[in-house]
Amino acid sequence: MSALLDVDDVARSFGGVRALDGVSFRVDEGEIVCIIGPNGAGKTTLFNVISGVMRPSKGDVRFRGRSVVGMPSHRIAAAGIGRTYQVVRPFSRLTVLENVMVGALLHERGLAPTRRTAATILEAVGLERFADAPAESLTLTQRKRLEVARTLAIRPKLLLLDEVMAGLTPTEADAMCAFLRTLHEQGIAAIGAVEHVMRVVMSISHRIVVLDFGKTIAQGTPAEVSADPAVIEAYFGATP
Amino acid sequence: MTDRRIAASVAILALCAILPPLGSGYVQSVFYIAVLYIALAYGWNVIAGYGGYLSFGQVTFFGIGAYAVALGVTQLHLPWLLCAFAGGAIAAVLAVPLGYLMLRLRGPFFALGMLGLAQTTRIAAEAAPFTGGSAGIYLPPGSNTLPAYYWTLAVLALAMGMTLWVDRSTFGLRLRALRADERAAGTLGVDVTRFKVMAFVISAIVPGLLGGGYAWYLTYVDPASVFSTHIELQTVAMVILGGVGTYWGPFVGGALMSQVSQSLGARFPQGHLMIFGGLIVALLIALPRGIVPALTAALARRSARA
Repeated sequence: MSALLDVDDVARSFGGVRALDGVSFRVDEGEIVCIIGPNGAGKTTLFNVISGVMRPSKGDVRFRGRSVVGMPSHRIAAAGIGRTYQVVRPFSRLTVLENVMVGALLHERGLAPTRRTAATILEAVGLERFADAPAESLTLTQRKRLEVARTLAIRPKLLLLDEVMAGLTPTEADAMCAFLRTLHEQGIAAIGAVEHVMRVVMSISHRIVVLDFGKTIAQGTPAEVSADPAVIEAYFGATP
Repeated sequence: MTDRRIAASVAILALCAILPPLGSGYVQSVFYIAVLYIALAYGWNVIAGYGGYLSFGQVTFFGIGAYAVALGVTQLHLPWLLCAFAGGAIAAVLAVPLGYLMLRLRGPFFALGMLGLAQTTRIAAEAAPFTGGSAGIYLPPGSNTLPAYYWTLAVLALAMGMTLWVDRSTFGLRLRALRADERAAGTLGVDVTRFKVMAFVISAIVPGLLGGGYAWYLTYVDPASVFSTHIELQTVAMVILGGVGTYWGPFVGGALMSQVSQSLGARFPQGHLMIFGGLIVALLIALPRGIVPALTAALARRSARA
């Protein structure tokens, strides 16, 4: 069986800094994979490469068997990869509903059906009360939900979630986990980039990929990864 | 709400169509200049207001339209209206490659790039063998104010119609999304380049059509007066004053500024630009987002209190 997403020896440098240095992993249909790693490990750069915001300096990214390297980001979105941003920044001067409509436009024609689709998605994430409010008026938690909602509107097969757990209270994080499980039930694969919140990572991931200084230092099931000496070293320092 | 905007626009345009023939030649000129600037402001508002690309070079297309009429009438002996139409068409066709090229620049770089483009076309018009150089081209004399005025009014109606369409369409939604965040719009499936170029083309057609009317109105065209930085800056200032990216902003800003500018020019021929600049600065300090958003906010507050 071919993987849904195949990241193959991807490297990306900025000047002399190697943000990504030979990263390889795969994601199967419906799978939840968490990319963990400390700040600066290269998680966001990896997402930028997969979503077409940046080109890799080396390596290939294949989605459903086709290379997406060099494709403009709107075509990658149309192919079925949705991504959220770490710094949530809803479209300013657009309402909450309009923010979701932008994504929904990928599959709808005309304002009225787009509006209906977007309203359904807002309801699913519990933001329907704020539909006509300016997006800037939402709280951080609500903005994170809006960020996910507008990405879901493009009907992705694979969702890249950049630090969606960061800044959430434990209760909110649990709600986000429950939400990710519903995605899994709908057959949507997800890659979550996570810096902390290990409890969450361990409970929802099918597989974990550990990044450190742009390199994959370990990957496997949660149990395998948490027993890996390289991971323990990266997170807790060298063992004597 | 939208229906009211259409009705109000039609009423204003009808008034603008009826009044000028009743007045003197001076009144007609005043109307012509006002309507010209309001229409230019609407054209500029699409790429700059909705698209977020502040252009300082849309006057390029104005000049091209003016030369289309000047050359078409004097060299090819075509009817001026046909040439004025052609000016809009040429502007649209040129705007596609220029848009792909220029819209790679962002923010101040785009603004300066467009300013450079306008200067380049002005210099090209001075140097080209068939434009009469900086001496310009004289058109057959005649009293052309009213025909030029009605042409300009028709273009204004078109520009207002296009703005309403942008405001209410999926195109406008995509444009406003990319204005806020191009990268996020891209990863949500918006073909950012294509929609920016479309907006740029709309913002080129309007001055392209207007330039021909201006040539006919002046019966004289030279590079300095049609590729004019003054026209460009005045247009930009009008939209900013009225309210960028709003439907009524260009109208309010354009009507107000063209009147103030003309009467100041008549009263203080030496210092009017200085007074005018000071007025704009003062107004923008008081109403940083422009007149129309400030009024809308004030009305919203009043209805909230009631």
